Amino acid sequence: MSKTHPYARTPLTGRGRRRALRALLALPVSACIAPPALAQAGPNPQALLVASDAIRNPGQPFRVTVTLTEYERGQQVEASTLASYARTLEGSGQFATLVQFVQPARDTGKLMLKAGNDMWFYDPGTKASIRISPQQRLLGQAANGDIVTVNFARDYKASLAAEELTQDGERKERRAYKLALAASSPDAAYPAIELWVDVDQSSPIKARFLSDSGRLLKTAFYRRFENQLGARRPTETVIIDGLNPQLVTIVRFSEFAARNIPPQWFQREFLPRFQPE
Amino acid sequence: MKTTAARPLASAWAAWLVATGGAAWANEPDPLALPSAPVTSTTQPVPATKVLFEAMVGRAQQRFGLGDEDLRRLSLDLKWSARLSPAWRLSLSNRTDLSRPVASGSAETVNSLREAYASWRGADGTQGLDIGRLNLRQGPAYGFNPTDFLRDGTVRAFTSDDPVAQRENRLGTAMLHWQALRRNGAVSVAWAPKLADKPSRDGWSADLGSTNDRQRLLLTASMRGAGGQTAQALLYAAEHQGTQLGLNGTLLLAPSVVVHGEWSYGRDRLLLPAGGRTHEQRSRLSSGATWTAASGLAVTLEAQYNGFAPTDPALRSLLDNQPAAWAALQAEAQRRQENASRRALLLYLSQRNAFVRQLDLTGFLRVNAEDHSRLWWLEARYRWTGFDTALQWRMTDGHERSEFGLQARKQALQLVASAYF
Repeated sequence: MSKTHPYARTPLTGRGRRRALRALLALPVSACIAPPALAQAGPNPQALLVASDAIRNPGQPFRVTVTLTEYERGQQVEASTLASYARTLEGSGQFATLVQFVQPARDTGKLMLKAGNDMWFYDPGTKASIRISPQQRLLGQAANGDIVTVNFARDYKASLAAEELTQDGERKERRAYKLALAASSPDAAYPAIELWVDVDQSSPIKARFLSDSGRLLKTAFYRRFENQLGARRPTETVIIDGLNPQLVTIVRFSEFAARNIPPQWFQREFLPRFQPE
Repeated sequence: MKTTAARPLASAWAAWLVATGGAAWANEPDPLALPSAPVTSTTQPVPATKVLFEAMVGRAQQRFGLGDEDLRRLSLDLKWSARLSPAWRLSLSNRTDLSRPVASGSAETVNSLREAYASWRGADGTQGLDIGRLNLRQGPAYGFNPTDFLRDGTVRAFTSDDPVAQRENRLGTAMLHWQALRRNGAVSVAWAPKLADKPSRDGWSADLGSTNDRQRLLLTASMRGAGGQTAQALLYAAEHQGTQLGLNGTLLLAPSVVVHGEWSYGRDRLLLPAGGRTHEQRSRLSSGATWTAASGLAVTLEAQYNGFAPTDPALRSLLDNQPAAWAALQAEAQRRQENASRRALLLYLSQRNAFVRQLDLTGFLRVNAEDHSRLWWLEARYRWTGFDTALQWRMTDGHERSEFGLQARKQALQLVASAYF
């Protein structure tokens, strides 16, 4: 039996029900006034997804500090600090990310590279580059996909599932478009995603990542919006495990900075030569 | 009567369920109220000095009535780098191992000056030049790397059977190395001059004779396919040895399966001279796949072929007629970092956070596919803050005329403590 975490639910509250009722009552009037084409026109879900991506991810090459804090039953069990360098690659338009491990000390200097489905782990101790699969985990319970920059619009086809009230990562009710994302590229890390974006600003609110069978793999809340590199972006993601909601990872993004990162960096051969900027 | 009697019981049961369930929910921490760890700035370069101190105690059970023996080791591992200017950097990597009992032909204290080199990097990082002793490692395979042409003679102190640990301890080669990166590939040239005539047994020697006893040249060209395939072609020439061609590549077969392969062909010295010939043109091959389960368990299976190693009948004949030569062949194979048998298999498993958090399990099984003898190795490593403790178990088995069945050390148990600074 699938288990849904309470935070993943999107109940229509009393206020939401009242708004929905008002919308229903207004429907015949608006249907009479509006031309038929406009009455059927809704937001373009793929455009919403592109807009949401542009808020999550800066448009120019950039570096950012990533702090991962892992909790189990409310107790902090692990913390890691990483420096991430990302840019979009010509051709695919998808982000490529180079991540350097900074803490803990045993992992200092290790690198992870992701360029499409080409993922490598490099250990300066052994000078060995090992190709890894998207499923391999290098950091506790966090999937590699959780710490790299990804444009959903490049790998998923969006459709509008609902317009509804939902609770955000700061427990505030937000009016949102619920988008159903279906993987459309072999590089997609998940078969399907449900993504809630703000009706007014297209900013991401939360996402549910689903398996082939529709099982909830994890829920992510995007929060702590701050002005970074020209836009108001989420600087914290709370990831709750779908099977065991007591496994929580908080991914904090800080020290954003635009950097001129050449595309040649994002290949295995560059890894031994990497020096942090 | 029965129904009415059961009703209060059911109500009480339901009330208990609600009460305990409610209490459980009330005790569950709110994921959205958990704080992030304090942010550590990464805008400064990572620490220039990295130190590892390791201590090992263990006991080994031996064959041939040799009794048990105690094992002891202390290791100090140092890595340091400094940026001299935006373009130039100095790197140093050194390891000192103090081991008991002392391995045959070795010293009690063995220092390995692994790397000491200066590197220059172009403004955008797409061109680089390295001068000095550096570890240039090639090939994606786990246990046997036919295209890792600069591997022979590089391990001075064998502190572990784990191929990953052996890579960490190996010496670099003194060379001039130039590399240019393109959007989907790279080319490189490495030239290693002859700097000494023969390896040194002095524990504190830089031992350039192990890595630079002849002139060598290595050319590489790497490319990345549109589907995420990677490939590398290599051309290697060594004085008094011959020329070899190498190819290696990787492919993501499924989201949880990575395939790797390495092949080399050319002239090299045979491990066992045949028909009066010491050198021949032959192949080496290593190919396998890694599958990762949803739990994070990674399983690698690798098939290995070494055309320069003798077949089982030739090895048995050597053992029967010249046991000393057989032992020398095994030592030479270890020095060259390759298999002493023509065919071999490797099964490598690793699981991070196995059963409990911070406990990592690693294990491998090496099978000599010619004589079917085996080497087993298991490690349970617990990660504390700043240090690890590990329990390692190693066992060899096979019949009395096989590669692993003839090793004096039958099994060993070691406790290792590692502190990181």
